[in-house]
Amino acid sequence: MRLRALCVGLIGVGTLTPGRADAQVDQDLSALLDEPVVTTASSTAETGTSAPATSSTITAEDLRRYGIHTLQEAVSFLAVGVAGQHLLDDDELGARGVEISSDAGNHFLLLIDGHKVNEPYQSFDLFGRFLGVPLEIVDHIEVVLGPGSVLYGSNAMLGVINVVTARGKTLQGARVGVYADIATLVRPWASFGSTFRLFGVASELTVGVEYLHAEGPKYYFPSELAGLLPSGQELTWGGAVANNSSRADSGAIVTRLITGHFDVTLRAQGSVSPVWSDFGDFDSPEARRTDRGLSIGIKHEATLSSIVRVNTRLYAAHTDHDIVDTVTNVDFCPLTNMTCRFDTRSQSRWAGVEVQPVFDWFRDGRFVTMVGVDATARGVLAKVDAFDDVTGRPISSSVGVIDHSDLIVGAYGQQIWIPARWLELNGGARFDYDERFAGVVSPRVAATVQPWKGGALKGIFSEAFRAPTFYESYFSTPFVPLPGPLRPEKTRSVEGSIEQRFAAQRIFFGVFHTTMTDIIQNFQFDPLSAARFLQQGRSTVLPLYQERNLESIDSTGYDAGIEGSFAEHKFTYGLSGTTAYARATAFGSTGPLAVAPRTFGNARLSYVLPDAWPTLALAARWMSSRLVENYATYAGSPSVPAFIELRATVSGDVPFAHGLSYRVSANYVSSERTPFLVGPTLDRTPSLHPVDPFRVTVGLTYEFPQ
Amino acid sequence: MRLCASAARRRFAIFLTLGLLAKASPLAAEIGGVPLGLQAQLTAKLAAHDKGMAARAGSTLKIVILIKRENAESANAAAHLLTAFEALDSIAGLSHQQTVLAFTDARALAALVRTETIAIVYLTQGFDEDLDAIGASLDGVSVMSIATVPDYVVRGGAVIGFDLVSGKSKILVNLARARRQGVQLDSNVLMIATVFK
Repeated sequence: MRLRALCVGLIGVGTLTPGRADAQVDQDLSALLDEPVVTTASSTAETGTSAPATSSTITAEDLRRYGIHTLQEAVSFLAVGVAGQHLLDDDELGARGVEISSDAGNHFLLLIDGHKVNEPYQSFDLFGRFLGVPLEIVDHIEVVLGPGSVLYGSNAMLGVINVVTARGKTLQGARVGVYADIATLVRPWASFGSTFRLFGVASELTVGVEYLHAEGPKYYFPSELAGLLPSGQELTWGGAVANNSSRADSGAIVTRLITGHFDVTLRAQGSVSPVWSDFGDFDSPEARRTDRGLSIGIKHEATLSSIVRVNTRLYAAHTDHDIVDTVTNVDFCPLTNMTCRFDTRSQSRWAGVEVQPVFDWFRDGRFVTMVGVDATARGVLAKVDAFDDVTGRPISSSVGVIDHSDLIVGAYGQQIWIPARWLELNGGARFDYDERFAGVVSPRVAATVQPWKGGALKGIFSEAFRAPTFYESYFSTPFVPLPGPLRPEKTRSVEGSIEQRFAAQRIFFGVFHTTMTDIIQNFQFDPLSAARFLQQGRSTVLPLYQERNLESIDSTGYDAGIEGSFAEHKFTYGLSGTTAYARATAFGSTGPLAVAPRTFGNARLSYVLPDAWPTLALAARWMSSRLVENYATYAGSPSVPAFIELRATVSGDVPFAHGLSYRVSANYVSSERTPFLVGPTLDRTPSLHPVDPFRVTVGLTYEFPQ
Repeated sequence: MRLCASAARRRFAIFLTLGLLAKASPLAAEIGGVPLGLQAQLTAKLAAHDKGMAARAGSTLKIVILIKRENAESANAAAHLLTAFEALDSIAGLSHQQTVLAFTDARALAALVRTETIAIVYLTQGFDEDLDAIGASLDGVSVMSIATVPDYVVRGGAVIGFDLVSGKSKILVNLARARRQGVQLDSNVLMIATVFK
């Protein structure tokens, strides 16, 4: 009844524009223009309403208008069903009540221009400031919720995020800019976009470059016990402001060339950032993490006949990570009165080809078969070395050595059938071969019914998996035994949704039930199990932990949202919320998930003032209270309280300075801590990652005359 | 010897792949554009905003979807558009007919538009070389020309096109071409369109 009243209300507001007949047509036209076109859900350009998944589209205008600086902020403030949390060294993402702490983001599949970013060593995703794509050249971001392995294979457990860079014709011209978080961070950037003819073929070029330097924010950490020194004295951690560990530098260049039927994305990035390990010394000047990446992706689309089209994708990438940490704790550095320096290096390289023939049997899009084969050759080199920090002398031979290559192959098929104007069916499955485990089949079946004007009902069943990373499969030291054969993590989801559009307004409500099994986690040996492990001859020393398939998760809940615009898009708004009841089961006991919010959402309002006046925007997001990481090990299952984050942004052209524009944001967070642990965490109360409660950001952009 | 044979096979595979890719792209076209079904719906809405459409169309609005011979993309797009237009109940409040027509030359097209009172000509892919001639021949002919390739609008070969920016459809209008072909779009449409003068 309330929904009906709201719908009637919206129709009433929507028709309050002059010229009734024309206004009605305008509203229909606006509705069509506002309908997002997505490609990620089914690898086909289609409207968001008909896509076989729940998806959100974040536009470049949204990013600019709401003062968004990172991918994590973008999905947290502007997408449905995704919740991000900013940590000192990276950002974490969860969806629909599920968040796997310290997963390096590898339960989301991250695509940049349709090419996978997750590398094989740890399937690392960077959602924060080290993404390696200047947001100023992002055209839009597609966020697809739920399992997506049917087309993409591993990692698409919680969802798929596709960052699409702008085409040269959209970006046209040269721009330079700088944005700064007052007193903590500065990021100069430049972009260029152009159209031209290359060998007589219409072509477009996009280039984006950025450099980031951070000197903060700097936090004070209370003193806490961090173990023992070799002399037997207690070692403390914290008790000071972390100056060294707040510094970071990064740079990235992204180039996209579209020429004829080819679409090439070339990306290079590098960053040096702080390390926050649980055993390292506090604020060590030597502790740093260096990440570098170079990738190329080439897409080609060929229409061979009016029935057959072939999409081909070639890709190659190299990433390396070097993590240096200094440790004085005797448990990890058994040298008398010395500090050890641990150097963890890994290199991942992969290259492959994906061929995807598409058969449009009746030449009208009503019965389309897509098949595809995606073969990837991968290799990883990794090792951990320990040195005497003073002399630089190795104190042991390398451990955790991985030198492994393999070939993974995925084969998939998808059938789209539109038997009637109001009904669209999508079914498909993918088989993935990986030498480490039995083949995995990931099916998806979806039906979209559009029974009345502007309305859509969706039902979706889908499964996905995450293959163990090379680190999980092959990393071992004397204290960390090699795992047995690990099974891939799997997820299965059933969801239903209803959506209604009223001109430029959209209301959405969906329910879901998701099951995840075989989640890979560290099995921490207790003294008894360690002794038994040793006794069985499976280790030469008492083991500390081992990677195992340990946990399963069930999550049931709903997503809801409303968004739209009035007054020819001058006033835009959005509101979304998700509530999930999620439980994790391990060792026969079931409990709530750590770090994941049960309820979260976001809201936004913006208004474009007339003439030379600025655009005003207010974005908000919130989360319910969350249990801290490893909460079961602390008395009383501690949690952090609910929070709300508010961001007000003013943007516009600088008066009397043609080509110069500005953006000023103020960000406030009501919480002081995240639920993620930081430091040695040996005390009875957990030490938690701090939150920057108030931040002001200023940005300037200059657009060169064309 | 095994290494050499393996390397040779690899080179052959690379050449084969590149050869296939090169062969399959005879003409430039838009990749990642607005879905054709959506283009047809947008066209129907825009037709209602052309002040001259009712007089031009008469009792039945006629649409010609123009294809380039031996161009698979063009044929494919035309088939999609045909189905999408057939699915529409009415366009600008009028009943409508749609036909796929193979392009011969620009003069013949202009003559056909005049004699058959065609209201909308939809250009599909493959007309890069013919664009100037089509534009010139339609000067003074009352017809709404639409292109599946946004660049055709930019180059002045069609009045209207659609582009995908930030994952949403944008209307492109070439105002000079619109004037030459007697297309008078409402100012409120021009306000939300990207206009090329």
